[in-house]
Amino acid sequence: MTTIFKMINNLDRRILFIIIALSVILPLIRPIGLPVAVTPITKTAYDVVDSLKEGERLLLSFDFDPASEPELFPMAKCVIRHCFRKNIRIVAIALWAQGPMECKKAFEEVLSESEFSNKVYGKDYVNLGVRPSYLATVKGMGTSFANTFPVDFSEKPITDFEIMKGLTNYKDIGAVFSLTTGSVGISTYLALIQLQYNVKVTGGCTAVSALEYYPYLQSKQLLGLLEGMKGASEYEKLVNKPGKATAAMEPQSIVHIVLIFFILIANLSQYVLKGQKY
Amino acid sequence: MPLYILGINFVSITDPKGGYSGEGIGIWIAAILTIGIYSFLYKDNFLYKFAEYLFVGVSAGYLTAVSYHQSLVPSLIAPLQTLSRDFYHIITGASAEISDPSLLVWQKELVANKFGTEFSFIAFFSLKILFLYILPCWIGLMMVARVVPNITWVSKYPLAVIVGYASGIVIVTTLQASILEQIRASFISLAPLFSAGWNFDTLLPCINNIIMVICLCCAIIYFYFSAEHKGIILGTASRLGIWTLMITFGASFGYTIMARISLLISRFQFLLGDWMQLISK
Repeated sequence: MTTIFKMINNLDRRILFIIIALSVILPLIRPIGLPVAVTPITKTAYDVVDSLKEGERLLLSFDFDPASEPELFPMAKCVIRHCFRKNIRIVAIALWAQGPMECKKAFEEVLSESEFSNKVYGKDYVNLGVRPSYLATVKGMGTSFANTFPVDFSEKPITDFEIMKGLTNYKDIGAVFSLTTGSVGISTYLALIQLQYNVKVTGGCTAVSALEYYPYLQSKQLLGLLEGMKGASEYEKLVNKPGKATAAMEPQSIVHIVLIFFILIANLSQYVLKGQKY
Repeated sequence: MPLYILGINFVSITDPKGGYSGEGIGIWIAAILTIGIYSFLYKDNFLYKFAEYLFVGVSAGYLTAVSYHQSLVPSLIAPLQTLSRDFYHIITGASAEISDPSLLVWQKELVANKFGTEFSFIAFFSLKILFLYILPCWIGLMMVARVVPNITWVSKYPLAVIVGYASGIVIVTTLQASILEQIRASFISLAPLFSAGWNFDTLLPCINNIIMVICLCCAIIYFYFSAEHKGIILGTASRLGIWTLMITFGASFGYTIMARISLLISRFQFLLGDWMQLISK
């Protein structure tokens, strides 16, 4: 028994990498159909969007870059689908420089689906792009959207767009949905505008930063949260459109089981070989 | 041939018309770079370094282009162009061409040829350009002084402006949102338990609230350093505080694993789906 544990302790880490890789590849090729359960915080975020009336505006903030695309991009597509089905208008902005391109890509992919081919840029949705200084941007929209974003991402004047008519500040927005990576995003909206303008704030974030938003969930400042790929898969289930996030949850679960197994075995071998040289 | 038996059908770099497919070439480049990055898991190598440097370079280049088009053009270049065009149209009397209707008053004044109008007109435009565009641009340019060793100190001034205005915006609102609201949220009532009666729906949230308040107090006690953490009250509370922190760190670690594995899965979805066409995209 000791020999086996000695072997485990001296195992080349590259073997572990191969096991992890196989744990991802095999369920992707041959899915076994593990169910996705919707958690209450995802349902709350969904309900915030769902509670908006036809024609109301959702401020969809793309506060991420391609590095966080696996987790946040599926969320973006789900929220866009959800809004389009309910005829909720989307005012998309970004607090990250790479956000507008992610936004453009998300709209293009959703619009390629026949269900949404009737949606018109400038009427049903708009991509306002990004402005320097996220603080000035978020505060500026509280005074005037037109002053903060005089032109959209493709440098067309926003006065040309029907969706911008009657949109002065946050009072004309039904809710804010921020897709956040890092420190700029949900926490910025919570700190700067949620209390001041009494705006409903919800969003999705990468799993790494999910824990830091729990105090805001508990205080009801943040209404619901999509946590990483799990949150994205739950939203995909709610909008009845399984996609990449849903497909990713099986390998995710299997890798977690493998990792728990590794942790238990490693701790056991450390315990057995306590004080021994190996 | 063996790859076809396995179901692998690499994306083609040519389109049906016989030309090159931009999408196919892009997918091949992305796949090679992805493999290059993951090759570091075996050992450091040239392909990894190349992919890493390319990523940094492309990111910096993209950021520069976005900053120019989304920041410099709409905030500085375009307004200056519009303003100079308006200036020219006012002088030449082309009122229909003036973009800002509020400037039409200057044209009327100039046509009326009142005493001192020319001076006021030029002063108005000069000050507007100076304070709204030239001065902010100059403050921004001072930041570049950081790369010149002899005048690095100049960059402290724009930094002071940024820190000053950011503090002004953030301090009050953050105090309210992240401290006062959090304190308010930790004052939890147990009243529903007594008012709505003892049932499962009211009991569980109340137990949750009690645990939260106890753990919060214990975690704060752990960071109380003016007395030794000994005895029944301080000793027990600080130990419970450590447990609370450990559970939090454990949850954080779990979330971190989930995030990193998500990135790995996404790359495999790309390699197996878009590149090898082994699974649906």
